[in-house]
Amino acid sequence: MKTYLKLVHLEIYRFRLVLLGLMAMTSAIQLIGLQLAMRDRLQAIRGQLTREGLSLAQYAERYNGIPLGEIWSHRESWMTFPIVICIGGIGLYIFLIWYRDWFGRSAFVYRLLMLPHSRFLLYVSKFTALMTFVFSLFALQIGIVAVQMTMYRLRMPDELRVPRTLVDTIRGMDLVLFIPVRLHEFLLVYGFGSVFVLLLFTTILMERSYRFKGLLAGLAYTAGTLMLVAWMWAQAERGTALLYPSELLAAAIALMLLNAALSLWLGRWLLRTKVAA
Amino acid sequence: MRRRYGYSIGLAVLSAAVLAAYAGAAGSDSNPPYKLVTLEGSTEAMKGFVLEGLGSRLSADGRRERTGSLFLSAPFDDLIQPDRYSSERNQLIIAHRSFMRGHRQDESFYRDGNFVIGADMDDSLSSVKIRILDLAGSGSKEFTVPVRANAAKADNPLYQDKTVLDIQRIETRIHLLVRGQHDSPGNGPAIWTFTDYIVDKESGELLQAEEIYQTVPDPDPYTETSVELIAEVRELEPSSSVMLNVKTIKRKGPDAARSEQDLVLKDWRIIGYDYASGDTWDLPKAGMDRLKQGLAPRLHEGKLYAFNERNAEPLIHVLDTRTGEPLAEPLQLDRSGSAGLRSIRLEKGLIYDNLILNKIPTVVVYEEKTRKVVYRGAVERTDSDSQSVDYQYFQFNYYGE
Amino acid sequence: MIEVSDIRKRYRRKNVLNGISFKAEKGRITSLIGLNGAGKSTILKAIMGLTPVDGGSIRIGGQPLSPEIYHTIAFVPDRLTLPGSMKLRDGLQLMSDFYPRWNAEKAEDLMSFFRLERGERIGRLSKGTAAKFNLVLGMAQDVDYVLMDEPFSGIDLFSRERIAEVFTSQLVEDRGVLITTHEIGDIEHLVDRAVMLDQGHVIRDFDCEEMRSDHGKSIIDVMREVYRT
Repeated sequence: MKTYLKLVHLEIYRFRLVLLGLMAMTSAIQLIGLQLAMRDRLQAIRGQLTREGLSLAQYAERYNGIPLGEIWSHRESWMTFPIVICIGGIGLYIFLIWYRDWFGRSAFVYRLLMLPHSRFLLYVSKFTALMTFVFSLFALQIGIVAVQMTMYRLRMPDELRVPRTLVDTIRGMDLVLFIPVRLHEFLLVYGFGSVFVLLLFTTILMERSYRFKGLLAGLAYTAGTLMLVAWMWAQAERGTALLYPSELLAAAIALMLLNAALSLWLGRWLLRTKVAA
Repeated sequence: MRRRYGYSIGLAVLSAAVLAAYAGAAGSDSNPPYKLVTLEGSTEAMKGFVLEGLGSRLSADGRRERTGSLFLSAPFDDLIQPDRYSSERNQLIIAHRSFMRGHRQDESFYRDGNFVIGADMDDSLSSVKIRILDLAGSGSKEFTVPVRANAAKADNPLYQDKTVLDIQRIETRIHLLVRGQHDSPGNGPAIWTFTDYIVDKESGELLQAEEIYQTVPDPDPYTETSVELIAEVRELEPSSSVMLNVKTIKRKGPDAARSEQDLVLKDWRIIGYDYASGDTWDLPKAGMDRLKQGLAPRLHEGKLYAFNERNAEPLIHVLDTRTGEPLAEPLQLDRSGSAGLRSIRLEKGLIYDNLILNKIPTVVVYEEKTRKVVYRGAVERTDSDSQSVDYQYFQFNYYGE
Repeated sequence: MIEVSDIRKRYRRKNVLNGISFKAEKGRITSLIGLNGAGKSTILKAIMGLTPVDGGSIRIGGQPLSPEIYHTIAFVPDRLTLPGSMKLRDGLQLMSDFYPRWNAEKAEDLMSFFRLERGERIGRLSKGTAAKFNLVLGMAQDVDYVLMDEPFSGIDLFSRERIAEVFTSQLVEDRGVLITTHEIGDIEHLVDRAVMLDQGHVIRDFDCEEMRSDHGKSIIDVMREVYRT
């Protein structure tokens, strides 16, 4: 157990600067983006006030207040761009977290494979570290929205403000796809996502054991699983499928649990017997 | 490295704390700040019905839940989205799970105390599959009934389609009302045909195919005939007759927009058909005149109901389907605070009126015979910080248990 | 003892190891000798589980390979095994964290002996310094066997002498040492057993003391015989 934790720390520590960078970039762009969006909207409203000769209170009566979620959508691309970058970065690191040990001047992979501990700990600790990165970005996003709510409260005039709770605000944004408010949505997105990470991890180990053939086999299996799940999702919407949608969901979940077990078992076996440094 | 454990531990703990707080907040936020309050009467009539609006789903027994933010899990609900006026299919799906397996979206269903019958047109448009579930317990049967082609092959229509619109059981016979559609020869305007296919319930044999009505294309290219089905509003309920709303409309010219001012109603007929006897009749002039006041005709429990939901103070007229004469005094509904936003539902001798009354979304349920109000309820806001319900229209849907 | 029996390995259509068998005993220095590409590094990596073999078996102290076994063997490869961005002291800390048999005192001694700066970054070390640090990592563990792959390649003369000193003074004791080299000259006088390889086969396997006293030949003499023809 202690070895596992030390390995997790090793992985987290190695990535700390990149993670910090992603967090800083996301915070900066989203917060600045909101300030700009508020500035633009207020300018537009002030213009309308002078043109129509209204006071702020009259404007609010006629047009209703503007909730944070709506202002967010003014600079939608500012908000979603950092998220895309983060996803891309973490996605890339699914591969690099392994390959960086092999390539480079030092053969750190020698050291890791020679450790007098079960090699499976390497697999599990890398997975844990990656999940920690993902959830820390999740938490950061929640934090950023909270800060944005404060900025909104400070800058928007009282007449135009629509007070909402944090959860309520997030619920109304497209963002809720990444930071779900419902437990079963969260389990679907992050549960299925984790299983895909496991499938990719084992694909990497297949490549390290069987080279090109292994890579092809692993990618084909992962892609096949993805298509199967997508197909099941599409089937659920049609009325003629032989399985009820709830049954398709149960089947999809069972499939993913099976895949998780398969990935873990195969990854462990490959690390023990087939992987070459 | 030992002193730097703080970084990893800090990251993990901080993230976990934020996520836990978020989960807690989201969990305690699962109830929307609205509820449906009973103002009068008993909630018995509202069993299975919900009001949906402002991101919430409310039922008369006090249950309330949030709708929305269900991107990935939404398709995995067994019940059909009740976004149409009728959604009784969900009752069938709940009550007869294995019979409905794979057939949730078949074209037409029928249900009475003894049987559930479903019908679906085959993709090749040449036969209809009929499935009968015997509620007394002897399982289900299936028949395939051939359906004749729309037009002779020589005519070569560019487009054709057939749908089973209605299915009824009269004693030992099953009636399938099939609407066919095809282009007229030379790719002219569409021709619609309505045919009753009569099938023996025990053997599945096609006994008769009776054509009820067929549109005749008008030589004038700007004149079009449309036919709308007036079937029993409660899709599953038995109904001994069915009606066709036939309108012939002329457009003013080639550039005429499709707005109502530029259309002239040349002819309007309502044709009734009785399944058992095969009789057809036209609704007499007296009845047509009543409808011409702007009332939409609906068929329910063998009577012709006519009312206009867009009216601020609608009257519900109940007419005889054969004569068009009123069978009772019209029922006057409350004045709506928002014209056009209203839905009226007829079921089991009750009339459900969903409207905005004095700014507030309200449901009033009347017993048709006695005209008494058996339920009245309104949507109330439980948290003053949230959006007001004033002038918000809530959809009235059947959702099942 | 380390017992290698009939191991085979095929890599890209070439038989790198063609049924190799030998023993490396505790308390002895065994040297694998061969020209470049003879498969020496591969054998060490196979023993350390860094590359799988296609046939044969490897036993250490009678036990098959397992993570527990690696408590008792240390490997000093011809490459650095720690990330270049790490400082030397971080590297030592990592060894301490993950190796229960890490001997911090011995590490201190060796660091002073080789005059290594703790604050240096691993990636910035010169070849000679890097090799010395590698030795520290391998030898500061209280293990039963030490494997070394080309410990002298690219090292200057004086460094080599210092390393040879370590061999005599600290290294062996009751450990089993298995090294590969093609520059046998520096340590010829220290090697107890020589295993000569060619084209994936063992062509000579002898006790050096016996070869010297019975046949009057040094290891280099045997090498000339074997590899010239």
